[in-house]
Amino acid sequence: MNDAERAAADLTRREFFVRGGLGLGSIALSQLLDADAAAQVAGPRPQIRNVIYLFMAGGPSQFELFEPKETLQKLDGQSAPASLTEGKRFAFIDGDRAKLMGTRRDFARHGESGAPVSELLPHTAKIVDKLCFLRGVRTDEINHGPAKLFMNTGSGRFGRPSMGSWVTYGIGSAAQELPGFVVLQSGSRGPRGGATLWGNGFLPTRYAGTPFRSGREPVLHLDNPPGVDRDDQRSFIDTVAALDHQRYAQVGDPEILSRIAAYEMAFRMQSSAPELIDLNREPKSVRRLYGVDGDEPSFARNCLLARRMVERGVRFVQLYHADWDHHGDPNNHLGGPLEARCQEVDRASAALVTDLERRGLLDETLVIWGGEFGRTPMSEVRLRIGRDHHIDAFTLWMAGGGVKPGFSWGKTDDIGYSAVEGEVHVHDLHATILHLLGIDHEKLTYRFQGRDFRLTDVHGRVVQEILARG
Amino acid sequence: RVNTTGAVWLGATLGCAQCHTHKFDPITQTEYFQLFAFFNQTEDGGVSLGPTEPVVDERTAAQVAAYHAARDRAEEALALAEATAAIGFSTWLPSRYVASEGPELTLEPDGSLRCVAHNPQTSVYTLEGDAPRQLSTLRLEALPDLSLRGHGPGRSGNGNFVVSRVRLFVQDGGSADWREHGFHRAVASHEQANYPVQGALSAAKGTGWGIKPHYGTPHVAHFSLAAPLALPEGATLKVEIEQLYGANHVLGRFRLRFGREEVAPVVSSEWRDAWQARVAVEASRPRVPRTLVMKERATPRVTRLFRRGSFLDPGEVVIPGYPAAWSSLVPDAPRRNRLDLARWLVHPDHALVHRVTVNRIWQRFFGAGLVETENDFGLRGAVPTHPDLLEWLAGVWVRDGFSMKALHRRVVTSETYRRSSRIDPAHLERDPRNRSLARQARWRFEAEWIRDSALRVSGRLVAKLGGPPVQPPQPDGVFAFTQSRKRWVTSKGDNRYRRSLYTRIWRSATYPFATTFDAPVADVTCTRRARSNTPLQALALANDPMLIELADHFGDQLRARSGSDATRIGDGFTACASRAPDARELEILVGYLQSQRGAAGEDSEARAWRAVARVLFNLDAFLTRE
Repeated sequence: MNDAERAAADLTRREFFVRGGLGLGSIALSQLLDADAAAQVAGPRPQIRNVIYLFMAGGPSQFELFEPKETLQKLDGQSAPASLTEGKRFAFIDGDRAKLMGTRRDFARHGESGAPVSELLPHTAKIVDKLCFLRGVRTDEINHGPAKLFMNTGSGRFGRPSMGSWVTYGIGSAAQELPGFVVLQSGSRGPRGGATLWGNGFLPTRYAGTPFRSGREPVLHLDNPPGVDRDDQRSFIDTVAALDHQRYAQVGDPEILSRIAAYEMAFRMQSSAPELIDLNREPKSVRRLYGVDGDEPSFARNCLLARRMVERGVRFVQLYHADWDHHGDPNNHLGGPLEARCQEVDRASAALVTDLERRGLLDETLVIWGGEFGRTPMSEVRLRIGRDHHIDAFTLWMAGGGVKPGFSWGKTDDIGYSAVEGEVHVHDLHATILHLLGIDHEKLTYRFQGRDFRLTDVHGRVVQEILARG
Repeated sequence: RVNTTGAVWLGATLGCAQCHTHKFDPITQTEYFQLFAFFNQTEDGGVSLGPTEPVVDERTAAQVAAYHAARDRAEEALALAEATAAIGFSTWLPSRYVASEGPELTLEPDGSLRCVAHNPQTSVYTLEGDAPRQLSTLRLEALPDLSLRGHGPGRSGNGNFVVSRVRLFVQDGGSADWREHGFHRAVASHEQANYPVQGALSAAKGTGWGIKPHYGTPHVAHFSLAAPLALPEGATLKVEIEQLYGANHVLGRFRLRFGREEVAPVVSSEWRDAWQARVAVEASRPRVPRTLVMKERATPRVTRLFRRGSFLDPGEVVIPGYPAAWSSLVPDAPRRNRLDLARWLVHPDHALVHRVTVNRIWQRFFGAGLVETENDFGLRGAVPTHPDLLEWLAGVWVRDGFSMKALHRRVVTSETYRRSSRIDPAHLERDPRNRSLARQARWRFEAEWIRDSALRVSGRLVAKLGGPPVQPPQPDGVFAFTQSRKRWVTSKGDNRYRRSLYTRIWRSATYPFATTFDAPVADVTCTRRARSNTPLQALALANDPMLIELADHFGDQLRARSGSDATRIGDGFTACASRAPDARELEILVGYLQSQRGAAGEDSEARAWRAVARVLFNLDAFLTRE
């Protein structure tokens, strides 16, 4: 399609809505897109409907969590082989002088799959048979901002649409009263890069991720103005609708009907969104499972919210949890700060998988857990001990529909520096996630500045080896 | 810059050629980098804004001159006070001065050393130079400095430092070995509790000289040898200042002097006062506005093509030039610098630029251009719907001397522009996208227009031109999703009601009202905005306190007017929709006003009018250009 044809298609879509009485703008776009755009981007049969992406911002250390390396323990304190570090760029350490460092954490093999998980993640250890570990993930970007952009948009530079935007652009969302792509944040601060990580890039703005705020008003402006109660709001919306209908009678613009429907949807969201975030509606046992404590904003709370969102059809939920950077400064080393991060996310991450499974939602949901890169096998010595950014190989896990449970893909060399088999580049990861959603990553394109852009650019291979069904 | 220039001026997708040449595309990668070469010669500040130049008028020129005079006087007085306090000592000027852990030490004209740029966690300063012939006491002056946080003298957040150890080595002419001469005792003008200067005599960890809580003012310490030392001619001296406390507790500015006599290290009140006077002068420094300027580099930079677009893989050298495909438009155009490029773009013969510009103006008036792909006039772009019209408009525009006003007038006085936007079902069937312009287009206002219209209609608009960005009200918590919590201090007074053009833009979290209404992100060029119609927009229009404030004010204005309900509502409607309401519209609004009045009383009257104003701000008729 060229731009003009695309614009025509957009209009036709909108008209289709209007005639179908669904003129709901972005939110019900899914209805039509499932039938329309989805047909054009369709790859295989969709295996999942939703994605929950637990983004560990900062880059957790695979060596302290998932990747014990005997040889690395033995070589502790020695220089890294020059053959590995030559010509490599590191964020902070000097590759020639840095010393290899084995982990100080205890590891055990867990479950029937025997996946190694360290003492830091006792809850994750209990569910390893539901997880699919990718041990040879590779990225191109060495610093946080670009690497986060790369993991989310497939490019280290600003301007490209994020994965959630691509997905909702491609196949819409089944959520009737919520945005199709929602972003949640926990920890001390937002991630480096900010809104560009869930931005729409050159896609229409309606595909941008909607940040859900903590507190009682998750979506902006759900609250009526002071002194306006629900009945007042009803009669306000009815009056606006009556006047808009009158204008429609005069000028016949179908866009007016879309606007009337958008106000109706907004009115419903005003009750559905607060209902969504009211976790007191969940049984105590469920809140305890996640570790939700009162109304305090937390990763646990966001995990439970994510489950409630996918239940309501939200297509793509992304959770950011800050401060996984471990360089060795007093506030970011491999001791207390790493332990604190693990404690903040471990129970809830495992609970999310368990809870989704119990409800039969895990089959249609993909949970992803990981950062923008991993950490070096070499130590970084500052006032305390840490590890530097590492892009050649790191670990993330997935769980849910379409991927093999209790499975591990990819193997790194003896010191965990690079993958020796089963390398999964970020582009491959994107291709695979789209594949699971029933999207052919080579067909999901958008024409911008004379070129058809893709999430995977000109790269990407579906990692067939991890798929439960081919 | 090349890609943006392509999209905005040339209607060309130049970015396609950034990584490699495409077989069937007329623009090659070499040509892409020839355009890049024009831009590659400018002096850019990188992360800082620059280069800038001060904008000095007569009045500020006098203020600046007065400030300079006062500053020079204050610095002279300070230098005198410093010298007087150090009588008996002579300044030591090291010939070599380095800092471990990255920062640079610079030797200032007054003999002091400054640690600039990178702020290290810890550092060891090593200074070498000619030794004095006689030596008994080393005087370390920790000096405040206007450029340091808290005015120093240290570089920790509050201006503190910890000198962990001071060591002295001598190399006399005969031998290449350094011989250490340990200091015997140390005294200081002021010592922090638990951080006395004696701590700097030994290698013990965790000890040293600190100055809490007297930051931003000078301090002096004297380190004395057990006995005076006589040194031969040509001897070299090395002083090491270890600062190992961590967390940036290093000296930001200091000076070393040597003396033979032991004198108490005192910071005289004259010295302290002179420094305070210097600080006071700085506070009176006139604020001269600066403006960004385009500046060519003094020495040209060699531009190379980047293979596969990667700056890490530079290839052949290229010089500035214009793509061959367009070379016939303006033959023999000079191509020395960016000014030449600008002149090439606006040359009266550059027909492509004229078409692209006129087309974009047309897009602003009709919602879509005559060439719908306004940033792609190439083969893959859309074909013009009315090529003759486009050509004629471009031609007349050039003859008018590129007058935008004349162009606007020509378009808005045309019969086509003045057509009704009423949609005829038969037309809709035949031409759903109205490409043949049987009617005028209806479209929702852009984000900024909506707020600006509400400002205007409510009477709140402050039409002041120019000035720094402003912060109209925005919801709390916007920066919870960004790396650093930005400050958003809501502007007071006039600045609360300025046009949206002046609203501050943070890249990581743009003004939420604007984002909701499709304002683009600032990272990529946008020559046409999307126009969505979403429930989040409905929520913003209905409930955003920023708009409610304006609606309330509008309601109060209507209530205060004289005339019947119907008259006042009619006035309000006309202000919002640029037309009078019809009978049915009026009836609905009057009915709503009455229903909102409820119980009698002044309060309910105000409430009812505010409710009406809120309805008016949410009408399609208010939000839509027709």
